[in-house]
Amino acid sequence: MMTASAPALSIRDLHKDFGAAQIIRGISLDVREGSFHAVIGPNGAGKSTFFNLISGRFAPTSGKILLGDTDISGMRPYRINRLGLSRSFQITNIFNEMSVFENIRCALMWPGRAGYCFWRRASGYRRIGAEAERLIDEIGLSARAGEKAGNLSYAEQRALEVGMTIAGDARVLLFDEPTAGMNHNEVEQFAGFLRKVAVGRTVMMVEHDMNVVFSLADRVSVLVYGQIIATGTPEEIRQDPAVREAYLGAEA
Amino acid sequence: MDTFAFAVVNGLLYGMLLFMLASGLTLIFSLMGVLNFAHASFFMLGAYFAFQLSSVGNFWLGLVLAPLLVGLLGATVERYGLRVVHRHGHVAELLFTFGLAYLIEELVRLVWGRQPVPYRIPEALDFPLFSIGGIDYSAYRGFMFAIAVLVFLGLLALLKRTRVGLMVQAALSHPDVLWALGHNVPRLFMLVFGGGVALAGLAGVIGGNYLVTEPGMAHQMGTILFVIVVFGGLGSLLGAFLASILIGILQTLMVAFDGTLTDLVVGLGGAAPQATGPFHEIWTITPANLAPVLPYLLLVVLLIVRPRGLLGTRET
Amino acid sequence: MTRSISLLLLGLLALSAALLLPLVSDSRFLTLFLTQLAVMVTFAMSYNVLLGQTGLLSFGHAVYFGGGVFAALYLITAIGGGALALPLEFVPLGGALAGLAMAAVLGLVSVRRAGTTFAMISLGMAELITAAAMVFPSVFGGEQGVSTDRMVDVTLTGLGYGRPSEIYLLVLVWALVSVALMVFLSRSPLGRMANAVRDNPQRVEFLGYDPYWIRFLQFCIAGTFAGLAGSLFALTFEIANAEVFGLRTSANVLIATYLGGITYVLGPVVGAFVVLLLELNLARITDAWLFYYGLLFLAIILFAPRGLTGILAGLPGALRRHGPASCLRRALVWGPAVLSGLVGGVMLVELSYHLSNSFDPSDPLRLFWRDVDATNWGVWALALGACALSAALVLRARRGGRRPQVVAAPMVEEGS
Repeated sequence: MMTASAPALSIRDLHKDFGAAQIIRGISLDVREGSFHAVIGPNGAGKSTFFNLISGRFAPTSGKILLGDTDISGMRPYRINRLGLSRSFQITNIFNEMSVFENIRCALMWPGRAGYCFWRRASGYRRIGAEAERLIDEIGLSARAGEKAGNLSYAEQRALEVGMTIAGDARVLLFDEPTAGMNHNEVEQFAGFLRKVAVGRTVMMVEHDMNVVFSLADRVSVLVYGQIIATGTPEEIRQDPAVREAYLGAEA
Repeated sequence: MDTFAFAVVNGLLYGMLLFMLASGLTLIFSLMGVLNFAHASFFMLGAYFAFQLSSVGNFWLGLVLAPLLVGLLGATVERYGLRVVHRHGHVAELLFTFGLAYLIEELVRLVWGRQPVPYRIPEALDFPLFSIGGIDYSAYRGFMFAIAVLVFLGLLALLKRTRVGLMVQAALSHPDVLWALGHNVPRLFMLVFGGGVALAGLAGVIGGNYLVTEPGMAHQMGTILFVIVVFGGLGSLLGAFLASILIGILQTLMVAFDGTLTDLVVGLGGAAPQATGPFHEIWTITPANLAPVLPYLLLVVLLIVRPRGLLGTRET
Repeated sequence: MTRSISLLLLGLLALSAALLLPLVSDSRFLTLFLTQLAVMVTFAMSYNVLLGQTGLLSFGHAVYFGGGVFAALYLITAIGGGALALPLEFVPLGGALAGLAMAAVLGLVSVRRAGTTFAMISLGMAELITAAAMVFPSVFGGEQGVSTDRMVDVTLTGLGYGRPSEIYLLVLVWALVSVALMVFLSRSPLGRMANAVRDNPQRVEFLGYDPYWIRFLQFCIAGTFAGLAGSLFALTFEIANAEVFGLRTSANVLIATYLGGITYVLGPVVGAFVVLLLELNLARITDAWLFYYGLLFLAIILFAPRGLTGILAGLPGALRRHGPASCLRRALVWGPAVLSGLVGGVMLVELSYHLSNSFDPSDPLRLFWRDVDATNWGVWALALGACALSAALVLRARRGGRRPQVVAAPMVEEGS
């Protein structure tokens, strides 16, 4: 487990201020290649901001983010995505007026080298079409492929959201509360699905459901008031007294 | 020098008139996210209502009633029109107000005809207040100025002193907070839309006889108005104020002066350029010719340099 | 299946017969109508590349149309004067290039933001260009405009293009090519990603695409075909002035496109057809036609955001869901209400228009095939009565129709 392979994602002394409010106050963290790394913490700790900084939605106030060897801090989201980092959103973020198939296909366009092409038909890209069908099957929406995404049920939309995130074989995936708003059964099913997806990839996940966290993650970081107070295996985190006091204790 | 001073004073007055429209437009935009395309149409309705009322009664009747009528109409439009299209998003709302502007213009043509109507300055105010260098400054302009200042102060007091004002202020800086406060938001929307539009109506009442009351006045005023709110920064009241005054003075100044590129070249000792060939007008354009182009030129340049506008914080 | 295919074939056959009618018929009205329709359809389709496909509401699309118009006018004159050895048939390419060039330059600034800001910039740009064009009569001809003569010696087909039916054929071919190309473009990867940008530009950024670049390319495509449409206009009318750049032209194409239905690829075709029909027929009957036109536009925005095509496309589904009997009942309840409202409203509008705009208000007014006196109170009472009747019928119909709405409400909750 403790091999010395280079980290897939490396964060160095990251800061983010909004005006006078310091939301992220110096995060340094290495995410190893192939690991499933969960970030937990109380509400308002800055978890979503942290993800928004990594994925390029906000530019950091100071600090560095390295994806492999490339410095991606302050890059536009689409450039970060092209370098192999893909993310999902806490609030479902899909193309409501388009069909499920179209949604997934849009996510596969850039990785499938369709680019800004306007001289060929989209349906002419057979590999993209086939991959879209396979992926829709994988997320269990085959029966709904022609349906408008806006008409799907909540759980189906969450599945579509994750489907769009994993499309295109990004090396690093960020999941922002993938099970938010699901009922117990759906969460269990979904956790199994996430485990399957994570094979061969590096995954970072913000999650509130501790059962999901402890069943999926091999590393856990605890974020409190914009700082990481502990990082370790799920077991270590469970035992850590500081974490128990700051977070788990308050939760129970 | 006197022409200059005169132009500045007139420009300031025009700017204040513009701000009476721009302030309502800005408030509506900040609160509801709707850029009211028909704002200048309500300005026009104010002028026509005042004309109608002054031909039945007198100017003072129009001054009081016309803005009220326009405000009432605005509230109705918000309640039964805007609120319906709201769920289809901002583009649909913008389209709706655009259609409304179109309709109001045709309605005005329908009821009052295509030609300008004889909406005149009240006789009680039709005398020179003072004169600079032999040019009279009419009492009516002084009256307009007083009204504009009163509106400005009233608006300030309303925003700083009342509950509604505080809520509007909160919404100006943090658009999402309003819903969290749990106030009666739909009623507030109706109130602000009606109020803002009534302000435009008042500007129409006092401006309609100063300018010309005709069916094209909404389009003319409307486009300038959008330049002002985009220029000042969408959603910024102070920005709208500065932009109103700036554009008011600039436009008046440009009309007041003549002189061409030819004059400049000759003045610098060159030979007068030949006035033939395509685009030869460039040598003979006066600033007055350019006055209608200038606001848009300013807008485009500003958007390239600073897309947020003068004092805006939001970009969309 | 075979039945629908044969129906489609029949429809296509009827359409091509209708489109080719001017070649054999002598009706100038029909020829002119179809020529104008072809121009309008091309223009409206190009507008929908922005509004329907990319979600960009523009108030300045006439700028690129106008660019095509003037480019074509000067091109035709140059060909006629022997300065250019380009066959007349290729003039639209010049218009398209002019539209593309203008869109490429102005688009750089325009598409930085979507939504309200884009709309305002497009308006500002249009006003700037219109005002500037007025300042340069040496190029844009001032009030009289620029005119040309399309009967030139250099043509590909040997046709003289003096007769309306000949120019119609040329315009029709270019319009059909344009429409086919635009439909093709909407199905390309760029077209699909444009739909994604329309729905959710932020998400697109996280899928590897730059929304700015997508908007820019779509803007250029729209500008190109608007320019082409402009050149078709120039070929048809051979004259234009600077007003072609103005808000009226932009508003016209916006309204036509939206009326037709922006969510359908061929919605603008329906819109252009209806608008042109209204313009040519309504304008002959009444001076207040622009008012009705605006009213129709507002009604569509409020009650049928998917446009006329949406209403037509929704009819078979509604018939199937509620059954013909229920649909007929609803039509019987709503029909009289709408009809009496229309009659009353039209009477009011026409009467007031006559009263305020005619030389002598007591002149007889031709209203619903009868001469009436607008100064007579009786007619006004009749008009108001019809409106009141309509209001009463609407109130009754709404009370009767409330039940199905309550049933429908939970379904909406579930879907969202």
